Amino acid sequence: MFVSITPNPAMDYIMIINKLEKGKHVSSINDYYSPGGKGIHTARLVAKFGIPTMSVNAVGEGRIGRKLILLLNDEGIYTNTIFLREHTRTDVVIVDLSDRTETTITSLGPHMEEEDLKEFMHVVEKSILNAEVVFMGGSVPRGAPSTLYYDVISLAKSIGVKHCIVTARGELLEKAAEAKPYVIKPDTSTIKEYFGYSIKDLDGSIKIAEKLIELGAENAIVSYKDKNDVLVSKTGKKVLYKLKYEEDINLFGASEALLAGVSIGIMKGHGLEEATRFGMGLALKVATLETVSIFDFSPESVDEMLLKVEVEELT
Amino acid sequence: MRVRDVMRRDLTSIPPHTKIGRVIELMERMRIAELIITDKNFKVKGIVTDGIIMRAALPRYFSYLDTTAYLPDLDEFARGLKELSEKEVSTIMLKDIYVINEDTKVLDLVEVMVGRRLKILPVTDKEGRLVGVVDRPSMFKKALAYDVEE
Repeated sequence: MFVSITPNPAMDYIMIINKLEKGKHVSSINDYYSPGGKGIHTARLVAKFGIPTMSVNAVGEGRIGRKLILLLNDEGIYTNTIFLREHTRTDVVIVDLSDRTETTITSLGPHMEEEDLKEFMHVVEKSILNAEVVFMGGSVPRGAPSTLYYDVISLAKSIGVKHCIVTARGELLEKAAEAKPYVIKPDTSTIKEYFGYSIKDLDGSIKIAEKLIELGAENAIVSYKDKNDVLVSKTGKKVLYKLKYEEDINLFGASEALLAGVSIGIMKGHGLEEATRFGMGLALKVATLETVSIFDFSPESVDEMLLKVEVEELT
Repeated sequence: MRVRDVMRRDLTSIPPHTKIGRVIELMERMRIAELIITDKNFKVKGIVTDGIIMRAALPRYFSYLDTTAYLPDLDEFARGLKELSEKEVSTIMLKDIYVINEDTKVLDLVEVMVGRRLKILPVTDKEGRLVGVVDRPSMFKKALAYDVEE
């Protein structure tokens, strides 16, 4: 079972409009709900490949939280959820067809109290007993400690889960690395504010990866210049993955797709390097979709993308 | 068609040691009237409903009459509920409940749900672990989507 932990999921409300004009009444030409958040995106991508998937969530009270669960169940995903006070985080995504831009407004989301946290950890423990891969990603609700991913990874490792994969930012990322996850991937958009320098080239990526390994992670995947990722392991081995794709790509959901692909590869029994290659192929597939949704593709179509992934071991 | 084809794969449930006050809070947050109780291995231990809580809060009334029509005011109910709130849900949950195996035919599921007037039915695997839930709206939704031979 692939188990994805999402402490702060979002209900994305996608509104497609012809043109956004500030201060004017604008009608949508299409709108729909879509469960979101890094953990949920990853779970939905993994489930598309027919892999038994469970999503552990902490949603807000009421209708939106319940709708989010129902939509995941409709996709065949098992859910185990706690309900917090206040409303589920809602992302209103305005897709403006006039200039192909996406504007997202994120709500504050619910608050996690001490009793909620205890219940959440209990639900996590129950859900990961038979997990092959435990994934966690994204932000945590207000009130949740910055050690949340550290605690989940420590718990999973004590149960015997070998493959903990995490993507996060800031203090959450640093603490998660200290729990020695199998794979860690930083949110590169916030690297500068936390590590004090931005990634400009391959050396910058390797520096960040080595820092995460120094903190405790077994392997680190770090992106640079949109189409490249480097995998660094604690043995010192470095593998560079480059996408041979000239046209512009849309990075929304690409990071989740990469880690979903890594998870799928591991679940299929591949080594991490091959799993990462598959992850790059899946990321490219998602990044080149012409639709707003990152789920509008067939699993078979990822195979042709693998041809565009160049792998090079660095010395 | 089997039960696994129509069930919702929702394993949301609470442990038997949950305080009843917390159960009431969770029901209100989730806007539901029934909660399944499982142990740490997802083994189904029981179910609690708003009706069970009401009866437990007014044990003297419901032991004689199946109505609250003769209650003079809310005091007795509020007092009973407060006393109850610190107890564990395992003390009032319905233990002898219907569960259905995921391999059961849907026709048998409908018979059980209609025949027993059940609104919610936990679905289990061969080991008795919770693997999903069937409620009436989700059953109706699947039935409407079913291809009927003309």
